Amino acid sequence: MPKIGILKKALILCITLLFFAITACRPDITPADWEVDTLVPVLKTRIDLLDLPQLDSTVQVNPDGQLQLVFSESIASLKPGEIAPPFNEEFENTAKLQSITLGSRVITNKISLGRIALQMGLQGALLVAANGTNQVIPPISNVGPSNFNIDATDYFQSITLRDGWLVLRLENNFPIDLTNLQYGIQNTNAGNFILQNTLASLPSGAVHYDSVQLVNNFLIEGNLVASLINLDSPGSNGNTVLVDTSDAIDLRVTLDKLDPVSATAVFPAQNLFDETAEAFIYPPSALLTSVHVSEGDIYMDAYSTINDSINLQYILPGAVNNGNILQFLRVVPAAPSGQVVNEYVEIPVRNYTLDLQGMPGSANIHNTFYTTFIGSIDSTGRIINLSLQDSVFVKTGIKNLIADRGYGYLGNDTIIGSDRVLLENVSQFFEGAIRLEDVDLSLEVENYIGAPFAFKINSLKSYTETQTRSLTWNQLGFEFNLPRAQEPFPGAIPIPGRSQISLDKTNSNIQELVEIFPEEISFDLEAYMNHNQSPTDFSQFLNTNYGIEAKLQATIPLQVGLDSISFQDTVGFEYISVDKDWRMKGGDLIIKADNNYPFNMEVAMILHNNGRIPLDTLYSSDIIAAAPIDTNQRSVGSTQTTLRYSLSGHSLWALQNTDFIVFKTLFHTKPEDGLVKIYSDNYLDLQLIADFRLSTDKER
Amino acid sequence: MRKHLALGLWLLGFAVVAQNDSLIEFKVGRSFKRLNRPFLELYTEQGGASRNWSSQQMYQFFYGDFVDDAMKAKLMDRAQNGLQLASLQNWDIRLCYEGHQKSRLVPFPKQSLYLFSRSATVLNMSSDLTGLILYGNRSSRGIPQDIGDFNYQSWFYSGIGHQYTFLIDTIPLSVGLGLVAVHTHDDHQIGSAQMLTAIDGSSIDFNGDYQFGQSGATATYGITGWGFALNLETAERYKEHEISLGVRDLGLAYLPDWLSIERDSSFSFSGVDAGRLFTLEQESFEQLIDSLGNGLVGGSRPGAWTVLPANAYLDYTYHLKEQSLYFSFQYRYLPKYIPRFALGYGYSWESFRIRSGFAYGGFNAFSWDLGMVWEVNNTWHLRGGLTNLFGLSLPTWSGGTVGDLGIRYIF
Repeated sequence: MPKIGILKKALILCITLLFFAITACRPDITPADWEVDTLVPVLKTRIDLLDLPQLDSTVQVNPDGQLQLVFSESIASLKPGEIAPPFNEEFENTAKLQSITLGSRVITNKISLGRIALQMGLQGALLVAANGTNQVIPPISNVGPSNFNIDATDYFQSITLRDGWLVLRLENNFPIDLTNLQYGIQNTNAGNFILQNTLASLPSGAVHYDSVQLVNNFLIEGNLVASLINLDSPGSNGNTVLVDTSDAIDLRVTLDKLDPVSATAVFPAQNLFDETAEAFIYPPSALLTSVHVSEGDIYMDAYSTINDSINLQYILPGAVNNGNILQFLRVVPAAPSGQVVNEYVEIPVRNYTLDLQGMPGSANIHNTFYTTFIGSIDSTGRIINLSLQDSVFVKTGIKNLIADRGYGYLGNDTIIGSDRVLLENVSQFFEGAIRLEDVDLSLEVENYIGAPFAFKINSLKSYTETQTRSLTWNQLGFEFNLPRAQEPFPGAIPIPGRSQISLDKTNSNIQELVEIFPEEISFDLEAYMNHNQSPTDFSQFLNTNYGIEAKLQATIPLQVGLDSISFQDTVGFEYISVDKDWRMKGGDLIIKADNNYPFNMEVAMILHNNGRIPLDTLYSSDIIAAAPIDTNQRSVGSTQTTLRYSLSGHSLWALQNTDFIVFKTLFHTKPEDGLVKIYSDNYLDLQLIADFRLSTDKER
Repeated sequence: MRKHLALGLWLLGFAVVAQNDSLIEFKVGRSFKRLNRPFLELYTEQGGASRNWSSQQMYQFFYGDFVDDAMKAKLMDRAQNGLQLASLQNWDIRLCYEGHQKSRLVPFPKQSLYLFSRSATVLNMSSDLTGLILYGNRSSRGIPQDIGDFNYQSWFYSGIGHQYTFLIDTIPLSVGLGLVAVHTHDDHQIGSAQMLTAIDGSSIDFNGDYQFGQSGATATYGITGWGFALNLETAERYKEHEISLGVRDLGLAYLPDWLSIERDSSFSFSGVDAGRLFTLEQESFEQLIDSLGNGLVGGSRPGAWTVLPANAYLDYTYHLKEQSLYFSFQYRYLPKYIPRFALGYGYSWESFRIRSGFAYGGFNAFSWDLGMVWEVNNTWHLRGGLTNLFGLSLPTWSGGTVGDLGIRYIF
């Protein structure tokens, strides 16, 4: 069998690998490059003026299809001033002890027969022994003195009175008459008699009243002593009577109509003060029935030396928000002896509607509201000390009250508007001159104030960089009526009253102001509220967020003569997006136009780099010719034109380095056509054709 | 991929070298010596040809830098009847590991394993289309251009197979069956078609049908389909007459992701219709472009069976001692391949055989055949040839040539 040596094997292997390496590689053949001339349609499109975004809201179509430009520019926005100056008012209330009441006090006690009997010696003992039996009671004499306690400390410890009454009631419930009854009431500690008297006779079952006026800082203590100084009785006059040692003489001491200088007592619940005060706002000439408050606060600053807590309640009854009346309640704590406590509170009045027609039941009151301030103490049952020096001092007030809505009769006011406004709609896109057949301009004024106005226009001018045109009009300075607005519900955006004033070529030179495509417009107008109106309409209103708006609305039927009207637009461009392999070597860009518009067009493309520096301009010596027109100045049919734009040499280089292209189009009407009409069915069809020399090889 | 393949071969080669001698043993009968001994053969066939352009023109066009107007004119002048271009690049590695025991089975190996790679590119187009490609459409505006009868076909596939020779009666028959991996395949055709560019460039009209097919491989040796290829060959010598015939790469391949586009319509293109310019949005514009593209070249990707470019041949030789006369026929299943007939003379001396003749067909028109075999020694045999010697000797007149080279190492 043949065998292969090692060397031969290696040789075979090498040859095999070499062979494989050489022959197996599939050559990647890249042919030489060459250039070809192509003529290729690229794009076709229709241009319709109605599609221009810049004119989107500007162009309208008449019923007969003719286009008209409608411009609406806000030229004035007049806001009213404040309804009334910010309102600030402060009230002071002081409550002192002299206005504090103590009410009346009644203390009762009983002096029983048994107790009297104890002072009668043996006779009294026999009487006690006969309790419950019918006996003849013998005459009694010289009984007394005996003291009985009257405790009023539940009500007061002591009272120093400038005035007051102590009334004593004695009722004899003994079965025997009493004679020579000597009695007295005295302060326990001071020992002085408050009341002392002798009653000659008090029959059985009879009632006796006695009283004393307590004046001149009379001190009465809470602990009193009632004394029976002497008591006689004729007995039962030989009659048998039931002896009941529980029968008593009823004592009732009443303290009433107390006018204290000072007191250490339990004070009943009572108002220390209850005051109502009126406040006034001062709108310049308005008679307001209510306002809506947008900001402001009410406050209370209280100082008290009273040894009891004081309830302070501040109420604006005329201020309502969602059915809730504006009020607040604060408790001033009890002041320690000899010290003053202070309490301050402030709350916002925002969103309250404040009635300005004064107190309830008032008539023909305006710009007026009232406040109620009440200070009171509760009956805590606690014994406290008060004197004439004690007081509660309270300041209440309203600060920075500002209203954003006012209702009533708004009075008279003058609003002056004078400004110069920049117009953006048209001027930035158009240059050149235009002749207009007519312009229909209206000044629309909207009144969002609920009061009628009279207004007048003193002047109107339009400006470009080089020209100024002034309005001549047969109604300059004339007063127009501007109806009032209506408010669907409080706070809603008012439904404005409108007034429209028309200017056209029959009454003014308005088309001259518009023809120059003004960049600015200036105006001077005045508005008078309630001009020559008497104050009878109280349904007026004013919302400070809304005033008077004035708009200029121009309607320009497109029957025009165009003289180098230029329109330009800037578009971003990236060469690599259209020729990513950089194959283009030059050629022409052809635009085939089929024009149904009745005006010529010249189209130029200005190439800019990233720094907006112009690199080159692509232009054609040809223009897009206007379509022919009929006797109605309307285009019939279309005109075909071919434009060529060279893209060779420097132009190609510029295009390759372009970042922005400014398309500038000049429009001309043919002088012999006069003013031509433009309709919604006019069109311009464009076809873009590339007549380029391309390389088959990619570059860069 | 190429690196992996080279590495694999290196490893295989190393394994071959590192094996003990005892593993490389071949069975051969002693009586036949070198005639039917095992061998390793490397064979390649490469070249490009054209029935229109000369070799020089082809070289300048494919390997030059820039085709200027003068050269374009010459290229166009030679393509007045259309343009046909073709290229081939084939290689085979065959390891015959068993020689014959019977003389009648010579010249085919008894059994062999073989690797092969095939690459073929054919382009046929009309004169008008050639002009459009070279010059663009501007110069022919207003004149209808016949762009029909266009073919472009490209193949690149490789495979591995086993070959076995046996006798049918007394006639040897070599059968080789290979597994084929298709890497890339393109097949584009335009049937009958006309194109007209409007004089003002406002439109381009197309009227006709076209088919576009592509296998869609992205990597050089990516596999886009599988198939099989059959080689059938026979040869017989009777006295002075020797005849051999066969067909190679007869087979089919299945391409599962075959992009197929077929259109038969007429349309007029006048630019992308952007509608009303000021209402057009970027997205809509791109959709228009996509829609246009889909309309022209949008297609589906169903699987497809395709026939491999088989290669059939017939060779008759009349031997007169050292001299011989031969007649050969060859046909490749490729577009516009004209069956190639050759008639020539051969001479052999010592270990050298040469034959040469004139042929017509194939990828050339008239050509001058040349082939030679050199048995260098008992171990090394070389063979080679050119399909068109004119392509080298008269490069300005004749268009290209395809050469082949074989190296055989006999064990």
